[in-house]
Amino acid sequence: MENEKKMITLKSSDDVTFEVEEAVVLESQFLSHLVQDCPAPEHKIKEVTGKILSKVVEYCEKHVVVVVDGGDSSSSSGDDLKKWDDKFIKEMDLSTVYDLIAAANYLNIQALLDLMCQRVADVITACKDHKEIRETLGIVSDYTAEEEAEVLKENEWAFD
Amino acid sequence: MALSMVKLVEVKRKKWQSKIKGQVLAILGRVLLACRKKQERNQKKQENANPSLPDDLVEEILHRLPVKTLVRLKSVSKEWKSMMESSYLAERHLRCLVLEKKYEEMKITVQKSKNSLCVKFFSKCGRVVSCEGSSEGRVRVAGSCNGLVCVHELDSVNVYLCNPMTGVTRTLTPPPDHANYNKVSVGFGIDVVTGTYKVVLFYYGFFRLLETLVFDFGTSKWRPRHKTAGPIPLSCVPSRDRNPVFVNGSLFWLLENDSSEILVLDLHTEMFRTLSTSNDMGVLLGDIYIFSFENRLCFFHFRQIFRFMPAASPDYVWVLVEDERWERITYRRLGIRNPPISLDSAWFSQTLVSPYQSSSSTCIIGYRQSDGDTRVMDAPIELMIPLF
Repeated sequence: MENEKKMITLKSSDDVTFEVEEAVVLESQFLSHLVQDCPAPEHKIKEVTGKILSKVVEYCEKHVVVVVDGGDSSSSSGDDLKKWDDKFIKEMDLSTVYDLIAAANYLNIQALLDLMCQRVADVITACKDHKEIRETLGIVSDYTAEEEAEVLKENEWAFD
Repeated sequence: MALSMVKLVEVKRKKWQSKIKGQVLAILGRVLLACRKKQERNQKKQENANPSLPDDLVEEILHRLPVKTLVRLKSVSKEWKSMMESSYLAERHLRCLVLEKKYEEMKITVQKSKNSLCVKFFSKCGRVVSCEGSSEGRVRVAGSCNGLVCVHELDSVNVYLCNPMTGVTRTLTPPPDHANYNKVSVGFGIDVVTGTYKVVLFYYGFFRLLETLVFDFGTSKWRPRHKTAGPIPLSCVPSRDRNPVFVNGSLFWLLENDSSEILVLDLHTEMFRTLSTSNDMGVLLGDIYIFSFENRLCFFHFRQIFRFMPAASPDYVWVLVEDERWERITYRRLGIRNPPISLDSAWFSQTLVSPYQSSSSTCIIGYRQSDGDTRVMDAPIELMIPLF
C-alpha cells in the first residue's frame, strides 16, 4: 500500500493544474481510459474550467479515500460520505451545479452525476408553484394568461 | 489646576475624535459591504438567468422527479409541457421507477359520474379535489398496470383506459357488432415478453357460446386471440362478481360456479390453462377473493361470519408460489391494510405512461410497500377525469 503512488496532472481549460493520485483519476471512466491509452504525465481537459475541475477533484479525492478506508468500518464511513456529499452540494449555487453536471457527464463519473441531478431534482420539488420554478430555473414562460390559467386548472391537484 | 483642565479637555476631545472616526469608518464599511453584496447578488442573478444545460441532461434530472412535480412542471412553459407529455420521458421515468424500486403502489377506486371518471387514491403526496356529483353508471376496474387504469361500464360496451396522473383518457373503439355481445368480464395487463398492453374481453356470442376478444394496441382494434392459442377450457366461465387479477404477465379469473379451479390466461401466448386450488384452502367456506401481492397471486375467503363486517380481515391467505404450489401465510405478515378486492378498485402506481402508448419496455410488478411508514395515511386524492 505504501508504495510510491503514481501522480497524474490534470489541466483545465483555463490552464489551472491539479496533481492527483492515479486512483482519483480512475473514478472517472473517461479519464481512466485516457490515462490507459496515452501515458503522458499531463492531461488537458478542454471542456472543464479550473473552478469546476477543482470541485470534481475534491469530490473524487474524498470518495477514493473513503472507499480505501472502507475496509474496516464500511457502514460508518458510508454515513460520513453521505454527510460530506450533503455539505458538498449545499455550498453550491445552481449554476455551479449545472456546470458540474455537464462535467460529470463528460468525464463519465456516474456517482457525481447522480448526486448533482438529485440536487436539482430536490430544488425543483421544493418549489411551491410554477412561478418559483420558473424563477429558479430561469425559464421564460411562453403562455398567454388564458393558456396558463387553463393548464393550471387542468393540473390543479398537483399544487399544494 | 488650569493645566490639568486643558489636559482633561484634550483627552476628552481625543476620545470623541476617535469615537467619531470609528463610527464614520463603521458606516462607510457598512455602505461598502451593502454595495458589494448587491453586486454579488446581481452577478448571481445574471448567472442564474441563463442556466444552459443540454436537453439530454435536463432529462437526466426530470426522470428523477416524482410524477406530481412533473405534472406541475407542465405549467412552466409550452416547451416543458410538451416535454412532460412525451412518451420518451414517460418510458425513461418508468424505467427509473422500476430500476430504483421507487414506485409506491396504492389502492385506487374509480366511479363514474355523468361525463367523468371519479378517481380516488391515497398517497403520501397529494391533495383532495372535491368530487362533484354522485356516481351514475356502474363501472368496474378491469385492472391497472404501469399507472394505466382500465375501466369498463357494466351497462354498456364502453372500455376506458386512463392515466389519472396526467388526466389522459382513451375510450377504446367498441368491439364489432357489440349489440350482440353479452359481456362477462374484462381484463387488462401487459404481455411481459413484448411489453404490449392488452385488454381481454369475455362475452357470450351466438348460441350462448363463451368467446374472447383481445384489444390490439398496435392496430387499435379488437381481434380474436391468436389462432395457435387453442380454445377456452370447457365449462370455465369467469365470475362476473370478481375482477380478474394481473400477476406476472398472466390474468387470473375466479370461476362462476366452481371454486376448485382458477382460469389463467398467458398474455403473451394468449393460451388458457386452469389452476387447481386445494381442499385445504377451504374453498367452500365463504366468499372467495383473489388479489396480487409482490407479483404473486393471493387467495383468501371471508368466512360467513365476517360477511357483514367489511373491515374485518381474513386470518390468513394462500399465496401461489412456484411449481403451482399454494403456501399459507398469516394475513398480518403481509402488512397490507385493504387489498383491492372490491369491483371498483385495483393497485395503482403513479407514472406518466399514456393510454395511447401500445407498449412499454418495463413493467411495475405487483404491490410494493413504500419505504416510509405506511400506517400514516394522508387524505385521499380525488380526481375528476372528463371522458370524451
